[in-house]
Amino acid sequence: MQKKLITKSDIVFTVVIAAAILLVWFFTLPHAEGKTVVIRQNGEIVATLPLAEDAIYEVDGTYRNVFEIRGGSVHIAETDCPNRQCEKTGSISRAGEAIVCAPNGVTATIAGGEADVDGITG
Amino acid sequence: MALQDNRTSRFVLSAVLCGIALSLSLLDGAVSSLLPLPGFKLGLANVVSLFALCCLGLPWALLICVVRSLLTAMLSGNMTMLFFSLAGGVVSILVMYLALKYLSVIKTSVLGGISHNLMQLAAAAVVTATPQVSYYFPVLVLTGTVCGFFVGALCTLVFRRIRLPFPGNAIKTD
Repeated sequence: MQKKLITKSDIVFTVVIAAAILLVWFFTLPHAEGKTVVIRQNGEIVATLPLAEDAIYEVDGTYRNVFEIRGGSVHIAETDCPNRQCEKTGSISRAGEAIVCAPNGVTATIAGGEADVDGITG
Repeated sequence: MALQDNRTSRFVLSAVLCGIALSLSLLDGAVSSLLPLPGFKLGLANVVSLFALCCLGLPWALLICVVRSLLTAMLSGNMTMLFFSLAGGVVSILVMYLALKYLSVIKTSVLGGISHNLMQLAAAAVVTATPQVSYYFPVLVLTGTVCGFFVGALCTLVFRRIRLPFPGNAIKTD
């Protein structure tokens, strides 16, 4: 009789790790609605826009990222980056959430709604 | 037929593994892009990394990973992602090299999946100088764990079906 492919200890090991992560996730989940979106390019802040006003902001670099603020949330409306991970992120609106275009070095993070925000943006 | 354990056969085997890893990575990219999770990858090429670690050893596994990353970046026309795949690939191989000494293939693969995703996220946070990127870490670590588990099971199956060449060097795989 051959040994089992997946042993009980393998399952326990995986489930324990997954459960620990779910726990961390549950406690770090961003809840508060954000107030502004901070757009950075290679670490430098290039724009800080209020979420309350609908707007379109374009970042040019190795690639192009077009951010669209609509109805209190921000998403990537257009990009020519072949990776397209930023588009897949979808809309973000809660404090602490982020859209990342790693190939372009561009990020958009949501600020506001929490006390420690000044520490991050300052 | 026994494979002679010399430099040439090791070289040939790693070339074959490179080819397999490359096609697995491209397949992975195609499948992963169907899911609405940014940064998500199944990590199929990890099967090759584990196989290389077990029967060729650490230097060959690293070499295969570097060549595979270069080729994937060239073929997908996305050189900027090279840094990210290298960072993730090299670190996960080092983690798996250590883990293989004490743990089963499935557990090793889980740790490999987690370290790969963590490293890529860390690289993204450094390159964009945006530490808030870390909010996304539970999602990637969780998918890394789940995918790592199945990739590990797949690996165990591969080790059962294929007689490992150069069994003299093989790390225990059960």
